[in-house]
Amino acid sequence: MRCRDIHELVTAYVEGELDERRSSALRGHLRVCTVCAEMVEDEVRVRELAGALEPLDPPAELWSAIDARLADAEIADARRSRVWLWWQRALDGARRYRIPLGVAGAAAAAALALLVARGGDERPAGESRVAELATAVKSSAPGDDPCGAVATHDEQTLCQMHQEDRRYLDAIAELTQLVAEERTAWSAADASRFDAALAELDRAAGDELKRLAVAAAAAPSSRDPLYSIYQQKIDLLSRAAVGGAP
Amino acid sequence: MRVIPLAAILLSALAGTAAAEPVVERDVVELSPVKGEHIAKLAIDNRLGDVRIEGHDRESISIIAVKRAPDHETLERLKVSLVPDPSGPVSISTALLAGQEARPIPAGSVRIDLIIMAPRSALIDAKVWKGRIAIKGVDAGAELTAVDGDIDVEQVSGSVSTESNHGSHSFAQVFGAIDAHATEGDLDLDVVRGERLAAVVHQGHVIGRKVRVRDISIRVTRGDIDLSGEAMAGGHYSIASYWGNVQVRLGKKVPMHIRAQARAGLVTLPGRFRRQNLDGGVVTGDAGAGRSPADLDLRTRVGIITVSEF
Amino acid sequence: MDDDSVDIAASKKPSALAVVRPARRAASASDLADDAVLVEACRRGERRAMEALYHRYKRRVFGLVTRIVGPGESEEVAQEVFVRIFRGLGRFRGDSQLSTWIYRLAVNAALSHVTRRPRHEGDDEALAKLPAPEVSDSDPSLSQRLERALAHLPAGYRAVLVLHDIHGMNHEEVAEILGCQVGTSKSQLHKARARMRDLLGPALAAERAAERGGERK
Repeated sequence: MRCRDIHELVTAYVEGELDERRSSALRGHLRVCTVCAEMVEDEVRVRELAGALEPLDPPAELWSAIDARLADAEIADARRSRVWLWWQRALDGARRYRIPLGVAGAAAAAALALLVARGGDERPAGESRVAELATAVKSSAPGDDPCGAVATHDEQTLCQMHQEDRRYLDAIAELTQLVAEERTAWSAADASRFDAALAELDRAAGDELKRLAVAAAAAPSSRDPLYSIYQQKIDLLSRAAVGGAP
Repeated sequence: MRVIPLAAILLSALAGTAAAEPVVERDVVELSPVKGEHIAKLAIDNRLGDVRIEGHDRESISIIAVKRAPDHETLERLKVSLVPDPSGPVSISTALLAGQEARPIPAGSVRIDLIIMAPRSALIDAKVWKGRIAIKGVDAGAELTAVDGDIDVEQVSGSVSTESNHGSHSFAQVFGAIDAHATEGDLDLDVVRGERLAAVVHQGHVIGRKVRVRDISIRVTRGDIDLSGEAMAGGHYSIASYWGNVQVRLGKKVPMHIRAQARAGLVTLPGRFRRQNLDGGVVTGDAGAGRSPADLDLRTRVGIITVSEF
Repeated sequence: MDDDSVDIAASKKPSALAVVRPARRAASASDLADDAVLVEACRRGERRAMEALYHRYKRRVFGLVTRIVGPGESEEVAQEVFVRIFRGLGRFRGDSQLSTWIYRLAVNAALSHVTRRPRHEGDDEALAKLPAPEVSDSDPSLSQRLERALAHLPAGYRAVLVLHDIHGMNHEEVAEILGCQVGTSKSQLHKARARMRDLLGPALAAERAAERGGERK
């Protein structure tokens, strides 16, 4: 066995993975070669030192920091439905004043348009009351259906529509951010081609939202064209961010 | 096309006491084309529950609609409508008719589930809202959309496209082409053959066993990809995850060129590949000699790439 | 290093001719049952169960994260890991051990944090935050040198070394956590150790010389 072989086999030997024949040959070489013997000693020593490292205790405040972040996450979950909470109030008002549901449907679409226009994370007017409601309505465990707390079938359908809108928009927002990080490496031609394609889809989405705002229906099938555009947007963004091809 | 009038065969109807007991009604409808005509396409739109479709060897369509409502009056508002267009697709849709505002329907208390037996050669187009689509035994492909629900495809040939915003897709014994799009949901493939497999998943895992397809394109933003099967000579395989591991297990040793990029981690290739490590975490590998090697492009931003052969 | 770490049987000077194999305690049936009970309670949102789970795994997670990302940002990443654990328990299917799943979350979070940082060799601020040695010593001990040297390993090698040598996992476990083959784990460990030997070379040689000097006395 030569020094070169010892270099290849040292870890396997020290871990006891080497068969007896090669171990014996290796030991034979070590008897006559100080350099390799020291290398094996070093290997064992590194492993010992690593294994003997003291366990690390996190600081005492770590748990309360985690607890606080979990609470924030639950509030954020409740806030995801803030548009439907806002909508709840509008519905209550509509019922009280006998506004037909068709008009309410248009308001739902307008709420969606507002959500999209403001990038989803800014607060529409009347938000302080909604924020109160959001903190009051807390998901008790992950996986709970936020639309489960709603009273009527129509309200539930509207809640679900908002939830699905939100899901698409969140995915698009996340992918947009990833694309922003990736595009620094693109050529100018690629970037402008991508931007043009995205702008086209944004235009289509905008037109669809306007159409929804005008139409009276608030049925799930009304979302079909819009969701198809969102899907194409996710496709485009994913190809750029994940696929590496703008 | 001759339509048998809606024969509402009430197989069971549970009478409710006041509002406590939900009411269930099961309607069966059968639709037969005129002799010599074939039903080419079937479009199903059910936003009130699940849809299950099974191919059969007859030319007729059978529809079983199971309706659930809190009381009889609401049950009357649940409608399944059938539009047999002589020149076009047979169209089945469901609706909840408008009623009195004074008595709104409690959430979760109404549903219509459809079970449909259709000719195998009919192209299926099904849309549900919050419900499951299950399809089995059709040969002309399918276009399936479940905004919030799982989609299960079994023993289907043709061009299959599935889309969900929240829900997992499963494909078992599918021959043809698959186009799957899921915002949040897993993809599971078991025995898939054909020309094309294209999948875009934002959050979820993609797992495939016994996949033998000429062209594959899979992109996952957050999730692992684990594909096992055979690469074909001259095939193109583009498999990428932003945040997840990419694992490819190949059964047959064909000539192959691999480009793998794992910007944060390890790339493992089988021994028979001549490997080159380039900048930016890119690894290329070549194996076998042949005029049209299979071409693999594997990427992950945060994760590990493993290619192995069995 | 598990919470229940066992002394490695090598307190004497290592002999190049002997193979050192530390004993490891396998997870007992009652450990696994405990985990299952805790997970169920956590899924129900029971705060005390969540805190218990945290305490059971805090050292393992914090240790792993600190050695991969460095002491400066480890608290933030450890927080992130536990938040993902509790938010993700609903999805944990029990098809691997809970500890494996937790380690996998921790390694993924740590590695992705490392890759987001701008690359620079050696993080001086982080080094400054290393716990001061008990005896005020201008010359850091070998252990401290090893800790600092970790920062000079590429992230992939670092992960394998930390999991295998520091946390005492075998290659099967490392492979399961990292999602790679066992062979990959072995070869990465080999490279990590070789790099470590390079980085610690002078210090190891000095230790050897000192011991020989001591023997001669």
